[in-house]
Amino acid sequence: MHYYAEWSDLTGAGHAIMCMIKAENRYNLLGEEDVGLNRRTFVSLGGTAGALAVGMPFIRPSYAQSGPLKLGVLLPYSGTYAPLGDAITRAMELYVKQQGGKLAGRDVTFVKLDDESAPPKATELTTKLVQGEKVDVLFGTVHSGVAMAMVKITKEDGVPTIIPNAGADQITRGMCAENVFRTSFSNGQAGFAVGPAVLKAGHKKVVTATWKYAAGEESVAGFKRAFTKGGGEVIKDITIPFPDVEFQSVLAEISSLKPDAVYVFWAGGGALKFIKDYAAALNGKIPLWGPSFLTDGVEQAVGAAGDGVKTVGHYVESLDNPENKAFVKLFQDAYKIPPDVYAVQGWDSMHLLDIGLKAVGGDISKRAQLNAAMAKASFASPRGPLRFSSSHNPIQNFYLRELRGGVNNYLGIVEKELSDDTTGCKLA
Amino acid sequence: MMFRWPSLPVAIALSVVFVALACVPFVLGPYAVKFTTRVVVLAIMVTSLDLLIGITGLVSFGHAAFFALGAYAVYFVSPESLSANALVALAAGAALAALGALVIGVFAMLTRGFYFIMVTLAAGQMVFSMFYDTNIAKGSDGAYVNVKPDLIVGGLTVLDFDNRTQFFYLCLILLATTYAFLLWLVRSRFGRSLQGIRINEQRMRALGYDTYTYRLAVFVIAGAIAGIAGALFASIDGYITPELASWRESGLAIMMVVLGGTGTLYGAVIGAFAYSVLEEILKSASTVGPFISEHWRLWMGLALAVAVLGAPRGLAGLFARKPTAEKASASIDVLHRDFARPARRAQALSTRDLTRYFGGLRAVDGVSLDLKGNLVHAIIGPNGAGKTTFINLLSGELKPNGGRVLIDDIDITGWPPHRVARSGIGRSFQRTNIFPDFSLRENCGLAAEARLPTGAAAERISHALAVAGLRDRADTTAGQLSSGEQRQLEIAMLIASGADLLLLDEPLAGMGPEETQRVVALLRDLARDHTIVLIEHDMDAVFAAADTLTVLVQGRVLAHGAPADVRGNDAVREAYLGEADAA
Amino acid sequence: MDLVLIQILNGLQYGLLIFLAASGLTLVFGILGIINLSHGSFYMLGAYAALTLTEPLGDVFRALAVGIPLAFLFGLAIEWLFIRHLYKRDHLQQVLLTFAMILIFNEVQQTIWGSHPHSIPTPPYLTASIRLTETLSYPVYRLVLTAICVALALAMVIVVQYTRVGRLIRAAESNREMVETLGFDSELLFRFVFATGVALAAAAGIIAAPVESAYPGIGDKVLIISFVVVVIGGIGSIRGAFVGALLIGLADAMGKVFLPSLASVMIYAVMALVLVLRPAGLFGRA
Repeated sequence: MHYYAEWSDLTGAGHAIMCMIKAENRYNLLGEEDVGLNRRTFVSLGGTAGALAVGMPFIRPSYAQSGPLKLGVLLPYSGTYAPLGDAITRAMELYVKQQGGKLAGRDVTFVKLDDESAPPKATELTTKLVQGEKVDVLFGTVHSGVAMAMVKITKEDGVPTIIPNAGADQITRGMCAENVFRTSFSNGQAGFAVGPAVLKAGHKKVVTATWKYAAGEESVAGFKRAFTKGGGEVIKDITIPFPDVEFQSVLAEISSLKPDAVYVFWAGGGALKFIKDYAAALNGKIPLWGPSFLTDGVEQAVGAAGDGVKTVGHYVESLDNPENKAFVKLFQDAYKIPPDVYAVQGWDSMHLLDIGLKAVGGDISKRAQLNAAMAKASFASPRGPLRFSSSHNPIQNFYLRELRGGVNNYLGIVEKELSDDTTGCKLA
Repeated sequence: MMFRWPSLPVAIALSVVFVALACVPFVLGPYAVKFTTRVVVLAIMVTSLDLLIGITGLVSFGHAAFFALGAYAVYFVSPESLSANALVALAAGAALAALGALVIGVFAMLTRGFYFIMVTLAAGQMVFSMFYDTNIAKGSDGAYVNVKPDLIVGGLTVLDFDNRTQFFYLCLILLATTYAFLLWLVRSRFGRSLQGIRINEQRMRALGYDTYTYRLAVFVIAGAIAGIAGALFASIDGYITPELASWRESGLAIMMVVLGGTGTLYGAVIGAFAYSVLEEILKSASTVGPFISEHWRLWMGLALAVAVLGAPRGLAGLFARKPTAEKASASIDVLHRDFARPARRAQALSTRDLTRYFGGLRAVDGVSLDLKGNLVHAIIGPNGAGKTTFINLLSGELKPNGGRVLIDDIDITGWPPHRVARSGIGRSFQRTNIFPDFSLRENCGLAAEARLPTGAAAERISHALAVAGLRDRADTTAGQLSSGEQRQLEIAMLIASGADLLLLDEPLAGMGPEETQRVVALLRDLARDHTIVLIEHDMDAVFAAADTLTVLVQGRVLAHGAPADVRGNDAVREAYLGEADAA
Repeated sequence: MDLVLIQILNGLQYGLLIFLAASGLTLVFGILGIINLSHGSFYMLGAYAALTLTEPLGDVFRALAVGIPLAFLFGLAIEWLFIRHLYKRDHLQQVLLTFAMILIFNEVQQTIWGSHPHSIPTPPYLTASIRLTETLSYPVYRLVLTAICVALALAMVIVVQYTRVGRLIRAAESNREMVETLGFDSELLFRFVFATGVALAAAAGIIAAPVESAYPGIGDKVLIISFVVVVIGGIGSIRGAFVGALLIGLADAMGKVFLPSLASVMIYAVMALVLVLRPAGLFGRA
């Protein structure tokens, strides 16, 4: 049994520290004589203050169940994935705002932490949110490695967890859990969807390139599965360490291999730089393909270098459905920029939680019912119809898009209601 | 200063903190327990780094690599969906890290100072890259230990790393054990030698310590402890990433050591806690408000900058006692010298065509000398004649380009300094080369223990101090001696080391006439059981002390013989003494 | 075969760029005796300065012309504020304080420029590419970048070898006490050298910005690579930094294509090899 210290005010600790500082000053002023007594005072005060200082960050007011819902958000707000974190956060906040600042009748507060896309910090930060801040729900994150570490902890803790981007296959395969949901995609699913489109365009020999980390390798594996099944051949897989953006060597190697097309997995700042470097080095001689992350969010920034890049993804801004039109307008009005796929994922994450919360009447303590309601959710997303597989991965459409003039143009549906396999997941 | 026990107030404060930590699971929630566990584990690692930095003077910028190796070891020994044996996991952590430290140390110990910092940094980065870029342990995404280690004896679960409270106490006990072990180690003979290496490695080598092996040994020990800490760290969340080995983590560990205060061991613990708690406070929006927590790095940076500039000796320095000023005793009682010892045959030294170039310059050029036992041999010559180079060739500091060096009939040409020292040659340096922060007894102790067990050493130390006339000042700090007395201390250290052949490079430099007289008398006396080779400029003293005189000019022997004969040699008069007289 | 030649070109270009950064580090180290962990931060600040200055000034070369003097002044200020307190302190405290400076600079960068990666435009008249092989073209800007690095390297050699300041720098590098005894104002010399080091790192950051772009943490990699280069070349040796940088550039480029999984280990392996053969670096004094 653990007891929590409840300090009505913190002046006690503050007072002890002031005493310590005073004692120390006196000691310095007094010089060498008469040190004994003062030193002892100093040390014992120091010890007390030290113990209090250790305790200080953990002493927090506790929230009653009737207070606002505490939504933990673990997203990258710095580093190469920062724009993704921002887009997701904006859409989540927009959803809450559009609901009048409440979800299922309850006020909402956000506790945001920057995960820096750094897996080593993931366990510490997740623990801080789940056990330190005691959030009711956890949203996160973008980087697959961080998400894996995060899920490992929330699985143990049982806090409802919604992943608005990270595509690590394992999360909805072997590591799946009752309380873990994903509103984005799995890497393998998104890569798989590109295969048929590349084949259909008539390319037989392909080189792949990605960062050497799980997301990249899973994406390439998904692509290869679909592509080689349809008779294509992957002649080389090139990898560079994450998150290097010096692509000159990759480009030199691609040019020496002369494939029909290139499949790449990059995102964020890396994608921007790759598209520009690729255009400068290969002058449009070898078509560039990838999952939608390649061009999402960087459409404008790449300029003419991006013209002709083809991607397959689960969202296009120009999708013709009422939910999307409303969403684009709302987002555009609020933030003065058009939404991207990450915003859609953030929006749907909050939408999913809303559905679950409504099912339990806002009582977050009914975790089992909440989880069950979210697992059964099926709703119209800006991306089209959205529901979930038995392992809580989205079942969704994939669209072919071509970047031209700073816009991803819609070219048609590649895969309808594609589901990722649930290998290893024991949820029925 | 030689490592001391923590002072009473510090010991009390440490006990209070220990008890306070032990109370954490009763007073604070699970998050605090986990946080404290993490810091305790860090503290173990940082304390082991202080053994390198503060005690031995090895600034390793790659210590996190051993922490990471220890962590990965747990991954390697853990079956996919079963738990590993906790003892096996910890042992594997220590073993893998120790192995890594051995492999890296073999190379790193060849370098010193800044290059050592950089080599260890590079080694750490190599370990990082090895895990990051290859698939030996899941690459950059990190590896998972699915079921944490436990210890089951006869069907009873004795230890379960999954039990947070139990695991916390295990870590706390291991921290206390590590601290106690290091206290013992540092106070042991081995530890005293390490401190000698920190303060004056050249001297230690000349005293016959194989410093390479000592440094390598401590590097492996510290690596193993860091490995245990790493294994514990891996068991907190069961998640291990290559970044654990990166230079930033190593930098943080150094930061904690310096922040806490180097060379105290407990300072490292203070540093680990101060840093982690400060970071935690600055990052907690609910404690300090969003303005500070959003820019916590800025405040952290400023706090560290203030700490460096304001408390150069670290936080522990605020607790440490001030060095007490000892009064210098008036003079050394020459009468206390031990004249009663029996005479003993000492080894002879000879060289054959000994030659050493520096680029085109022949510093020592075909010198053949026979320096018989139990005599005082003086070597004189103008500046740049190659005298010091000659001594360096004899002591093994330099390797000759040609020729041979023999002790009695043993060929010691090309031996490393510590081996030469062990075969009976002791030397002093041109600049006084003692351990200023150690007491006289401790200085001689380091010398004696190079070759003797501690018990026998004590006897030898008092003997040496007595022979050198320093008996009454055995517990004075060496730095407080006059420069003449420091020279005497050097000689005492040579005697204590048991050296037979003493190579003294300008032992009279900077001495007043009275001191000179005293040391000359000491040298004459020492010749009863030693052979002495002496470089000196003070001609009066040379003629008073020496049995033979060798004149070196431009690396060659111009004259060699009894002092009176050499004084009568015309060539010498012209080349050297004439000038000296005129000057 | 083409691939080898192209990678040599890439390696040289990368090597020359890190030479710029490393030369500043080796100067500060050889003369001031300071282990400056914050050197990478100056490179990063250079890259962000390019971002801020390119827009109003028109192109990145003008940003370079304005940025170098600004960086120099900034270096003077930093020396006065932090570094000068460190000359008499040991390596450990230098490590600690300059590490603290990294934290501060990172936060400053976050506050001013935010966390998003930014691309810096190549000057419009240099956007063309030169055809190297049937499929591969090489961006002209990268060639110009290489030329600028060579020019700056030559300028540095001329200053160090043939000017009064250069003689003083060389003298201070080999025997600092002597220069002080001769009556030169070493305080002034130190401040000048530190500011020069900052300016060199920033210059590298600025001209590399159009190919590297600006993002948080860009300085870290540069810092480590620079240290490796300095150690390989020998502390304080500009010539050593030059050779070391090219060696590392080539090792990196070749490693990336032919030993991709060991590319980063390779750099450190080269360093370890050099140190075992020559413990004071290629051009360092024992």
